[in-house]
Amino acid sequence: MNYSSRRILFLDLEKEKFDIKSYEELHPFIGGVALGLRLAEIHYDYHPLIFAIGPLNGFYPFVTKTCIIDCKGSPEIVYIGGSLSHRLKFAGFDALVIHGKSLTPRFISINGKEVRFLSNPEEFKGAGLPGKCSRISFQDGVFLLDDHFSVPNNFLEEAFTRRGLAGLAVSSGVSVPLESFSRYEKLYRDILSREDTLNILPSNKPSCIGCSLGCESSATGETGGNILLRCLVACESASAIYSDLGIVFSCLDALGYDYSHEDIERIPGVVEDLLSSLEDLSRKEST
Amino acid sequence: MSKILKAKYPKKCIGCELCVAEAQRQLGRVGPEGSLIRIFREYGTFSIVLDPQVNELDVGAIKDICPSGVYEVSDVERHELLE
Repeated sequence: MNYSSRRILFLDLEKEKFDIKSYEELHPFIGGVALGLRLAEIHYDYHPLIFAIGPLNGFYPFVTKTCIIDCKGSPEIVYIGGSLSHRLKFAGFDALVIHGKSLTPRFISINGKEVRFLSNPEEFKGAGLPGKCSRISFQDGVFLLDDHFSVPNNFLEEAFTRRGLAGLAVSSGVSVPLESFSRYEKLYRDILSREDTLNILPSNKPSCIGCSLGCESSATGETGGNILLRCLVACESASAIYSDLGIVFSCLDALGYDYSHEDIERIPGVVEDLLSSLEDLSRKEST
Repeated sequence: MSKILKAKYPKKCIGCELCVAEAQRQLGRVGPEGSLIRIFREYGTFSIVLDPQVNELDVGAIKDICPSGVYEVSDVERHELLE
C-alpha cells in the first residue's frame, strides 16, 4: 500500500465508465471529510456523490464509518456505519467519486479493479464476493447498507434516486503487509480494551465491522461532530479515544503514515477552508 | 490433544468480524485475503464458515475476542498412524 498518495475510484454513470487515479497532492487531507470535501472542490462542476474513508479504517477498532458527501451546491455530509469502510479499504480505495446521471436505473458492483454497471436486480443480488461484500440496496422504501444501516434525512434516497443509482456493492479482497506488525497489534489490543470509554451501551444489533458493541444507534448514521474524528471516520461514540492526538499519531505512525503532530493539528482549519470555498462556489453558481 | 474451534452459537453473531481480524493477525496480515473465517450477512442475521485450517491457529484467542460468545473450543484427541 502506498501511504503517500490517495487512490480514488471515479465512476461516470452517464457513460458507464470508470477510472482509478492516485493523487500524492491529496495526502495533506488525511481522509474522510477533509479528503471528501477536497474532492468535492476539485470536481465541483460535476456535483459528485463522494464516499471517503480515512487512514485508520479497517485497521483499528471503532474506526467504522464512511463519510458520504452529496455535492449539490452546498455539500451535505453524513456518516454511515456497517461494513462499507472496511470493504472500501481492502478493495484498495480511499474514496469513490460518482458523477453523472444514468437514464435508466443502474446497479454498480465494484470488485478490486473491476466495475460493473448492471440493470438487472437479480444480477446485482448475485454480484460481489460472498462474505466480503458491502451492499447498499433499496428495501421497503429506503436504501439500506447491509440490510440494516442507513443515514438521516433521506440522504441516500435523494442522492441515489437523483443519479439513477439503484444499488451499490463493494467487495474487498486484498490484505495489507505492515512493517511494524507487533507495534500495530499492541495498539489494536489496547484500543479494543477501551470499549468501556465509548459513550454507547452494548446491544445485540448488527454491528459495524471492527466494533464489539452491536449498539442500537449505529443503524441511523451520524452527522456533524469532531473534525479529526470525521477525517479518520471513527465512530462518534469513540471520541474519547480518537480525539486524543497522541493515540491518533501513534496509530498513524504504526501503519507507516508520515504525518506530523502539526499536520494533524492543522486539519480543522483545512476543513473550515474547504467548506467556505465550496460555499463560494455554490454562491457563484446560483448567481 | 488439539483444539477445535466451533461456531456453537451462530445466532448470537453481530457481524463485528473481530474474529476474522484476529485470525488474520495471527497469520501476520490485515485484510480479508485468504481469510480462514468468513461471515455471511443477510437481512441482519449472520452465518459463519470456518476453514478447518483455522484450528492450526490460537483458537482460544479467537474465541475470547468474540464479544457475543459465538465460539466454543473443544479438545480433540488426534489418532495418528504409528510406523
